[in-house]
Amino acid sequence: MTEKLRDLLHDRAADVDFPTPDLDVLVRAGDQRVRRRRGLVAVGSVAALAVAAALVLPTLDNAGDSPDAATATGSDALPTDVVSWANGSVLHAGDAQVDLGFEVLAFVQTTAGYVAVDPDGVVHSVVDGAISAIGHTAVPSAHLVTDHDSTLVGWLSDEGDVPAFVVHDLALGSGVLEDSSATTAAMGGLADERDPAYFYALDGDTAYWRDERGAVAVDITNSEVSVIDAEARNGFDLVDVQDGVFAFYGDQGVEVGGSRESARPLPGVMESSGVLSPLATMYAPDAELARVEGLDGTPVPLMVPADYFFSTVYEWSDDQTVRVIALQDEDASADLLTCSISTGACELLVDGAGGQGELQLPVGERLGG
Amino acid sequence: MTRRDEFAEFVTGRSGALHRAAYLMVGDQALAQDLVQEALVKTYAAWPRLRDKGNAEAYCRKAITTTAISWFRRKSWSHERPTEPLPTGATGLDPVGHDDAVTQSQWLWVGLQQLPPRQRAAIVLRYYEDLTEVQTAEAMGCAVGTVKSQVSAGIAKLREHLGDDADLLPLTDLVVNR
Repeated sequence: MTEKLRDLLHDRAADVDFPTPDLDVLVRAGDQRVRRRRGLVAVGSVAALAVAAALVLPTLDNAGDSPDAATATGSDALPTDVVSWANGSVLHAGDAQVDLGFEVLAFVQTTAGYVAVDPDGVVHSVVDGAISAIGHTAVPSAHLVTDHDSTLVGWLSDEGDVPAFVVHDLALGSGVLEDSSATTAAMGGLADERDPAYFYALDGDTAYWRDERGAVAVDITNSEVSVIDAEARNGFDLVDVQDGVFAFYGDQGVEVGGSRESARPLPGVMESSGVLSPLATMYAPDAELARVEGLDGTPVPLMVPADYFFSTVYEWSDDQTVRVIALQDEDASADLLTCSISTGACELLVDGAGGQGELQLPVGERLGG
Repeated sequence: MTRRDEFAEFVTGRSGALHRAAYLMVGDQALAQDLVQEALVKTYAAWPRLRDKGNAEAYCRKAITTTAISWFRRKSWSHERPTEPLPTGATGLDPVGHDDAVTQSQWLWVGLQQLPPRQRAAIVLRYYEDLTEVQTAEAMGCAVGTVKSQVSAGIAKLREHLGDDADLLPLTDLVVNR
């Protein structure tokens, strides 16, 4: 009895002809999409917890001044619980700002301060008004990782003969882990390279990276290693980790769970990067229009104003609040919004934070890179 | 073989089948082309992340299905789209030549296009693509139970639409479960 329906569908389908799609058009559009995502999206990175409070603090420099790094240190620390962004060499934190004296290639925000990479690959900490060089990483592919409510920052160091995974504690002012036990000089550091050494994420006291063993979890307190996915091929296999919950990327899109084996597809989420909420109750994919999904696949509506042609969640302020980058057109200066998960309401946080090539957000990677 | 070469091989080999499935889901040739184009762009962008290139078709099919549902949901398109004039069905006058096989097919086609997008997608994936319930759930990005309920509800609506010719369709409890 099902044959009638099957016959109908096959007959109807056979009645229509379609031209073969133009491969050049597809490849151009696909490449453009990849570039846009690399440029405007939090690529699997997490940023620091920051409450959407509009603190009014005095600026630490004068507009137009460009102090060098040695003189950029102020007596006041930049707040770490507000929205942050960088534009050129100026790091903004709420209404406060400081000129770091170097172009900010990428940065992250922690509860103890900021870490930024300059165009030469020097990794700097910005803590209590003091700027210090704390390491070196390859550029322009610099990739910093941190966690919510954390003082830890991780990166792939290129200072030795082989790449080394480094974790630095801003509260201590020193490194807490350096590991090159399973990397080789031949390994690249880009997510989409063949066989890269790649720092996926920090979650609590655990660092996640890819080395010769696949995707591994390393306990920062005792350097104990466990392999979580021996088949991990590159920097895209593990999208995010929060509160012990993994967001992997598989053939059917994002898969979430407590292990590679138990992870299940997140219904309808095929974007290859995104961010879990701090308590891993929701996931924000790097969609072309900002959206959030419950881990059961229930969409959480966000009322981003309709005049933005592009918007995407780039960080979670807390488990009920996201921050969104939004553009009114390709060439517009980006606005930063905050949106409530419970109501879906969005408010403008920063009007015109910067254009492509200028603006950097606390996602640990270079926007537009 | 470069990424572009691999993708070109995939497009050449599979775009026809993908277009046909998309057409059945949306009932409009131009829209089906737009839908497949969008899905292929997504597939190309995701190409480096696909562990097994043999799964590209499943990935693309999922992109077609979820994008179609998303478009319909976003644009309330099911309420805006032009449909062929509908004579009344089970509750009214029979269409002209109702006993004619061609007319039956046309009548069934019209009924299919009137289904909500998720029900239509579920039926196309199950009865045209011949996917299992598990595969259909993966393609739709939903639970297996949702597939069962969507197919069941869709078939029930089609039976209602067909009126006296309802036995042309499977009874909902006879829907093949795999």
